[in-house]
Amino acid sequence: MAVVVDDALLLGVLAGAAPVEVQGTVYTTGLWNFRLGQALHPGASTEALARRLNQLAPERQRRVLPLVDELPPSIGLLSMRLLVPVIRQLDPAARLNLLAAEALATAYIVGASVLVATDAPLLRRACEAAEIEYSVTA
Amino acid sequence: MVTQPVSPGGDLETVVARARQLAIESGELLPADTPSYRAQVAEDVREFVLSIVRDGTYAAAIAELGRQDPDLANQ
Repeated sequence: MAVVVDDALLLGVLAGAAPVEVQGTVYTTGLWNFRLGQALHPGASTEALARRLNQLAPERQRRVLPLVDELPPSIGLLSMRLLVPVIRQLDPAARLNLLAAEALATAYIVGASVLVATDAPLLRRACEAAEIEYSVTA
Repeated sequence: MVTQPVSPGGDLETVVARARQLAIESGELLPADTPSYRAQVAEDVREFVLSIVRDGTYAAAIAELGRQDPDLANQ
């Protein structure tokens, strides 16, 4: 049993603060992992999140950011070497961007369900067409 | 949560099977007995993460990133 989680849920898992119990082997994708780092790191982070981070004492900031710097080995992440051939075979009519295509390809290869914090309609429909379980926590 | 069987058709099925085999050989496909990740973070860090997820700050941040780069957008 495995599940592919988006960046918001990955953050929750890493911090022990996931809104639902994430059972089974956890995978994420390179772009979800990248987006998490982009969102949280000063300089790369967005205005709203930068404000919240800046409200933290520097010592607390230094304890938050390492959460996303290195993915633990017990969380799966497939390389593009494996993913690209599968992504190239996905139905172009689904019009998935790379973020969604990577998630779908990971689910195919791992044989996993997809669990996200925010609904992504095109990804949801692609999962439904592929008979891959797709769930939204929020 | 129940994982559904995945049965892609045609060329996709072949490519997925090949990728799965390569993932096993390279160790990227984690063994079924891989222990679940157990977070070991301080309570104040956990509370900060909970707060930015619950109050929508994190969702707003990724929406902004998606506007800047369509390949990072939730579709």
